[in-house]
Amino acid sequence: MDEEFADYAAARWPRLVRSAVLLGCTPADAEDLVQGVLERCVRKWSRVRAADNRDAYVHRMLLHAFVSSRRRRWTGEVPAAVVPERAADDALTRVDDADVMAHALDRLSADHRAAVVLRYYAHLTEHQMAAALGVAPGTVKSRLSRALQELASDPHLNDLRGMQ
Amino acid sequence: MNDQTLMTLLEHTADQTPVGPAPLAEIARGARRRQQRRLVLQTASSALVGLVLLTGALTLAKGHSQGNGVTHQPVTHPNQGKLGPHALRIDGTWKVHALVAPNGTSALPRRDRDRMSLTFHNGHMTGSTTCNTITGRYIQSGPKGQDLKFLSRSLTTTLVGCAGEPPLLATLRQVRHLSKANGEHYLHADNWMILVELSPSKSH
Repeated sequence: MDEEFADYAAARWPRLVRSAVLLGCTPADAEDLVQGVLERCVRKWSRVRAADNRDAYVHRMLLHAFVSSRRRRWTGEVPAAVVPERAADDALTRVDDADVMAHALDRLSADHRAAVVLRYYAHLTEHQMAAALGVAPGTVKSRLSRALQELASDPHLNDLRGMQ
Repeated sequence: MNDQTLMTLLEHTADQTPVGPAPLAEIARGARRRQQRRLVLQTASSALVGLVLLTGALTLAKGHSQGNGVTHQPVTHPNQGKLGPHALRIDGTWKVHALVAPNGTSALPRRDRDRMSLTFHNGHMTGSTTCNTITGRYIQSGPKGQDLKFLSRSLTTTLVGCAGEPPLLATLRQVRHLSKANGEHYLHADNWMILVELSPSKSH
């Protein structure tokens, strides 16, 4: 294995796995997904290395892999406007801001969620996001804008902002 | 909510996921297997083209020749078709390393790799999906043993209900060919698409 690739993979592994979790994977599936993406990167390493932004290139591969995995595994779930209470929440006596954020992400559509994660966690530019999502930069802007509106209207996030 | 707040919240949320070190050795192995599969597919495609051409040529030759009265009796075994002396042998126990769905995607999560096994012996197959036991009969034929088919009616399974059990039995019904590359055996569909990758168990 190319030493440069090994260093890159070792350094980026945690962030890529966490990106996949934020997109909606379970931690185990996220590791599977990222491992598959990095296996493909081994063959395409010269292309990844030549990209303007390696992280953007790999995040694009990650997003495509995630979307493909979702298509294969669709179980008939329909996103609900109101997410049912998780049993674990009932046991919590304090609101955990990470859990609030996770719930807020769950309420977003897949497109809006991906836009938020790529922009605010993976730190891609609008053009990089457009390339990753396969849409025009204008579409990226409108998705981000709508996603942020939805997050702004999330009552639990509002509570959290009031507490900060 | 300003951008910085959202970034901070996402970082905190993401940090709740514990992540171990990158599995570099597994990534390297996985990349090698992907490359090998590509080579096998390319080889199989070339072999198929060659076979079609050869079959066409033989058909033409047969059309010209009226036969010379010599017939060759195939060497047959119970449940076996014709097998040449240098044919591929599938006898033994193998671990199921990969399972491919009809649409070409993986039907076996990484955590289940090598947890299922198949044992072949003289036309009889038994296997374990870690949850159920499967049995069946198969016929292997072709001068190189490249044709392998499970007899559908003979394929049976115990019926322990397990969530997320990979579709091994359904996949075996689609198998029509066998190949080998770099110590691994591959079971193929009619169109030579790889359906199952078998790796040697320790008993090999």
